[in-house]
Amino acid sequence: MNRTQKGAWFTLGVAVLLLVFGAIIYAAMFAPGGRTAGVGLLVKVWIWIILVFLAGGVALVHWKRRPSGVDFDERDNSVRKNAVLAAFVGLWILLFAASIIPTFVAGDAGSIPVCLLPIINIGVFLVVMLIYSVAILAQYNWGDKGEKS
Amino acid sequence: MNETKAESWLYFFLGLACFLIPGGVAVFIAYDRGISFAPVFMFAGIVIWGGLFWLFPFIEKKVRKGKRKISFDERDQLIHKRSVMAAYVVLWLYFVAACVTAWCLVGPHGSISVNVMPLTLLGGLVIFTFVQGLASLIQYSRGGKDGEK
Repeated sequence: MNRTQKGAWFTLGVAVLLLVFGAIIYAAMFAPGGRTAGVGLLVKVWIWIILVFLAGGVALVHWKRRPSGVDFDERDNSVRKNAVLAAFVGLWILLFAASIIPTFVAGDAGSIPVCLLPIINIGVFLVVMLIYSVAILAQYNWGDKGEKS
Repeated sequence: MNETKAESWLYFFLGLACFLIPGGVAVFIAYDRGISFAPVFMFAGIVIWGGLFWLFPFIEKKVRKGKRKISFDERDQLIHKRSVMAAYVVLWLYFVAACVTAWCLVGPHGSISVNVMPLTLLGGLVIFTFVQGLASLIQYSRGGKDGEK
């Protein structure tokens, strides 16, 4: 596994963990009754999981890194370019969906709480990161499995 | 002035109008007559086409490879990539600013009309195109006479 793949796994993990974290917070915000009733412990545990993953991920990505060895070649460059393209396409589709779906949900004359806007923004960003990392991993998976760069 | 620089000027002025006018018409139709397939389809097409229009020079280069003299060389590619990256960064800043502005205008417990969402996205598309064109022109003007063809 080369540096690009390690980085993609790391990004994928962070994006998934943060998306789940956001979903927990979002569910708690709009839950009936107490806003944070019953989710305080879950949020704390999840924050610790994210912190452990971040520390472990950074350590693993930089572990056994040979300073003299070639860790990034033309193929990695091509893989990254394709992943960036996939992320760009995903970004515009997500932004379009985020601007149209509220109209279908709330109606033509409806409105949405302003606190949803940053949630949508961060959600789109995390999904774009997810698309980028999945695109990188999928391309390495589709390629020659026996090849190790 | 090489062909790519001339295209940058053209893109700077016409690109904005090409996305802003039909996009505005689509949003107006959706606002005036209610949400239906035609304006949503038109808006989706404009958003995805406008968002990925920066790929056009690369596609054109691949399609016309070997058929005519090179007008989109390594330097142009580098300038184009940097411009797209600058526009991408500004696009995210714009969405963050839009969230903060809405929050400040209506308060944390307020709500905004769903009709604002497509308009915000259209604004993002215009800013993306504008910054991309502007960044290209700035980089060409910084190049000096040695880089000019």
